[in-house]
Amino acid sequence: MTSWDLKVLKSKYHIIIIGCGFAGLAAADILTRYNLDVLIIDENPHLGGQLLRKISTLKQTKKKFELDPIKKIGFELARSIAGQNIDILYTTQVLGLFPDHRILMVDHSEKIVECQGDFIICATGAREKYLPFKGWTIPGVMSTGAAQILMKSSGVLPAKTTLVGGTGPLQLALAAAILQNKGRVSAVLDQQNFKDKFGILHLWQHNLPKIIEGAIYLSRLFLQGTPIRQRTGIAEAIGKNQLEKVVTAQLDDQNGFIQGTERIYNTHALAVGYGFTPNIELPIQAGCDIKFDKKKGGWIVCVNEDTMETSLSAFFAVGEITGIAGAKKSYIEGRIAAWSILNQMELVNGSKNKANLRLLYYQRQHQIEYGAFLNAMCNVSDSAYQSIDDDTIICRCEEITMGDIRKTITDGFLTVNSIKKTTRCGMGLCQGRICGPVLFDILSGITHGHPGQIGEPSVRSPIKTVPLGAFLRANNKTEMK
Amino acid sequence: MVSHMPAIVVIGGGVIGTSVAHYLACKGAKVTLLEKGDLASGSSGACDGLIFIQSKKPGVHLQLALASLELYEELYKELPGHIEFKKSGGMVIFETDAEFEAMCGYIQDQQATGIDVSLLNTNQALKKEPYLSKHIKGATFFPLDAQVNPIALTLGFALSAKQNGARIITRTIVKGIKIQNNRVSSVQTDQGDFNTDVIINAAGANASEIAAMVGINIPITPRRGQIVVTQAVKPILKHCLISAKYIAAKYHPALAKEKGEGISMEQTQNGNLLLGSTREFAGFNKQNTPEGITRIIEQTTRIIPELKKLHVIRTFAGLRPYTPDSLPILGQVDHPKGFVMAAGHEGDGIALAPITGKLIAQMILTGKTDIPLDAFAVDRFQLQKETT
Ligand SMILES: Cc1cc2nc3c(=O)[nH]c(=O)nc-3n(C[C@H](O)[C@H](O)[C@H](O)COP(=O)(O)OP(=O)(O)OC[C@H]3O[C@@H](n4cnc5c(N)ncnc54)[C@H](O)[C@@H]3O)c2cc1C
Ligand SMILES: Cc1cc2nc3c(=O)[nH]c(=O)nc-3n(C[C@H](O)[C@H](O)[C@H](O)COP(=O)(O)OP(=O)(O)OC[C@H]3O[C@@H](n4cnc5c(N)ncnc54)[C@H](O)[C@@H]3O)c2cc1C
Repeated sequence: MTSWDLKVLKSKYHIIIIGCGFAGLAAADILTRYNLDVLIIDENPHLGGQLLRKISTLKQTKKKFELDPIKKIGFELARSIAGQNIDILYTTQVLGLFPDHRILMVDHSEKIVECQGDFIICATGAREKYLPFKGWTIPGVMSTGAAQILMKSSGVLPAKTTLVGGTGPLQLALAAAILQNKGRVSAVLDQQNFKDKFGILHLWQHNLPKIIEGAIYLSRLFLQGTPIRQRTGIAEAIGKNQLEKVVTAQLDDQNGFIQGTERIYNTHALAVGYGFTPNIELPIQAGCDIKFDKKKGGWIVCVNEDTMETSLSAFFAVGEITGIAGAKKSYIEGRIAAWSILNQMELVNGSKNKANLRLLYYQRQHQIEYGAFLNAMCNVSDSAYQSIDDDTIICRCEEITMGDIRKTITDGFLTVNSIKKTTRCGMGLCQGRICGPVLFDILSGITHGHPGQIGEPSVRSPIKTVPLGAFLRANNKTEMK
Repeated sequence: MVSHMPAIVVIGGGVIGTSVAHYLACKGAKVTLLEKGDLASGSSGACDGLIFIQSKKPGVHLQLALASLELYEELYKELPGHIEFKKSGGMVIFETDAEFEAMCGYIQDQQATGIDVSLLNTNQALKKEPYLSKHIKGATFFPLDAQVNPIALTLGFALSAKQNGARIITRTIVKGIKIQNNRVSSVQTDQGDFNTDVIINAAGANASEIAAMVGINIPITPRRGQIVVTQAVKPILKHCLISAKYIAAKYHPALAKEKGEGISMEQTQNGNLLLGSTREFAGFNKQNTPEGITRIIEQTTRIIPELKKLHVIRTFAGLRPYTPDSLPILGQVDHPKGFVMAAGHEGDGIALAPITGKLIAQMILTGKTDIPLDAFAVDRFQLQKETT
């Protein structure tokens, strides 16, 4: 891989793509055909985002039978785009976006640089959500995504034996992957049960391929004798500096633990996932309109459905940040944004473009329905948040417990912001990256308040922490041409 | 003077509105506080917590600040919660000889009023604050300068008011005010009307909008301040610091233009450093700008180079309620009766909140105040207009 640095940077580009997962790749694929100045920025050392994760395994993967054809498309795109004559900044984080489409970013050597784009495409993807339980901050407890990254990027198993829990389809995929890599899975716990899944049966019809994929995962687990336990939650993770054991129990209708159903697993790794939350920090900071839509995974960026343009002109949002629905929707939206931009730049034939966009529009609707299915599969019910134990830590940085939050709610503070101000929940080093969405879910689970009243997330630049020294212009000038 | 206990509505749940509600409720008054968002969602939740005495203009301004400081001594024991009041002492840092000279007259004025500000040379200053850069030319020191957590303070005032019978109603937007027989009679909100005898306008940077509802034109405008917050670290700063340019920016904007806005620095009880702040007129825009953030970081890291290594965890911006003479507008207006101003504290609202609350409560309940409010009357601006 070429090593890039900020020296290659022009001060102005036609199009800047922030985040290059599936959505970013799809947009780049089209835009790079028009001889435009395109800049791609991604905080990862490779293109392809969550789905591809590692470019050096490309060759092996090529030989392997790829279950999901979209991954194959992704690898091909990533390879083709990395070879184009455009500027790509790897391991570079975008920290802020300002009027005039100015972007502030920082690379791995902690230098902050600014540049500007006529059009911006934001494609920053999603991250995992959490349902806190006692001991969830002990090392060895990780998200399903983190476990996948360990295996995909570093080729390391989370531990010899891993317990997998939470909600949603990623659990099965992870368990299957662990087995494939010759690891052991003590059990797969599902917070939901078959009954919940029947409740979303009407959404299944659009999702046959995914269900087949799920069935394949399931059969792999069956063949290896891995227990799958429905309606089972994690009561407590135990261990001093490292996870030693996990107590699980069956859940009643109110998501309370049923006495006498406890099981103890001796394990050094527990991987949990409870669905996804969109990475909308940058669009919020820039001032884009957002809205809450549970079917789409929570707070999302509002877009014009025909063009993917946000409420800010020439600023486009694509992929998971407009609604969680997986790689295909991201791919389609990246293309819609690209064609819309070309249209605005008057580089494409209007009527042909219209036909393109129409087709993509319908494909997208189809994927949105799949998204509703996916998000329902991952759904954690209100009562699960209500039954979090008082001793459970919610904000890791400031060590704020569920008890602190419950008391503040009883005192009459019913918004994310007022609870943050009274308890400091979310005011620590990570600025609520993890506990922010959790606090929102807790409040909405307990108060059943309207999402807009509980509070829109608020974000300021820099959206991730950087040393003060990085801002010093004097330092940066010497490094930049 | 009012013989029976009047019904009072306070508009604004910032530090000023909640302080007024606290002092009124403690005297048994019937108070309702209306806030459009959450408590401390305006400037009071987006500011530093300096109770800087030596930066106040000698005269009524300084007199208010000293009286406020005295109240803090009791408040931090009385108010519910922990308001993190700390008499850390304050220093004004000089970076150039020219600054030193410009500040000398100011210090003499202060000493004349009996404010015991001492002058330190570079070594003396470094002894007090070891992380200061060696290039500084010296500093002033005043032991009574203090700091407080402005959010905890606002919440403490509100909770105390509530415990003393006040109604605190958030998420309620004031839309209009009804007047009958030249007296205010009710406040109209998106949640219904509130009948009242007295209305206190403590709407901070929005105070002009509220005053316009009763036909009064006041010159309060938003002046944006951006702040940078660092990660929490072990104690680096013992005192609150401001640069000499800060005082210049506040009182001689022309001087500040060429010299920059000046900065302030404090370390909170939690260990975070608050590095402030800009002084900009940008309407009601509360966004941060790369220029603003960079300016603050350049100036603060020059004075405390150690800061370069710390991480920025957050930036934010608040809208100071600015008045042309930097003094608040306090007290009853002539028309309509029952309309009281308590806004326009610009960059001093935290320092002056306790005394403001106390004086306004005294005025409403007894008609007399410990410190005369004449210098803060709204008509000072109209009079000025007529004489020029
Ligand atoms: C942890 C995790 C695991 C997943 N695993 C699977 C899986 O196994 N199978 C599956 O089908 N789907 C999986 N998904 C779903 C996946 O998100 C979608 O399938 C699809 O890849 C989304 O594409 P995208 O382009 O919208 O986002 P992403 O693929 O998430 O791409 C976003 C990109 O933006 C970059 N980025 C974000 N913020 C910044 C910033 N500030 N500056 C610079 N760059 C930034 C990221 O580095 C990333 O490369 C997973 C999602 C997550 C969060
Ligand atoms: C960056 C910065 C640093 C500062 N540092 C210091 C410092 O160190 N020391 C110091 O003493 N001061 C400082 N200040 C100044 C201080 O923040 C203000 O003077 C003080 O907070 C003003 O308080 P307030 O209650 O008048 O206004 P606000 O806190 O703004 O409260 C007004 C409230 O009225 C509400 N409101 C407005 N319109 C309506 C309506 N129509 N209906 C209902 N409610 C309404 C608003 O939502 C708001 O909550 C600083 C300010 C800034 C911006």
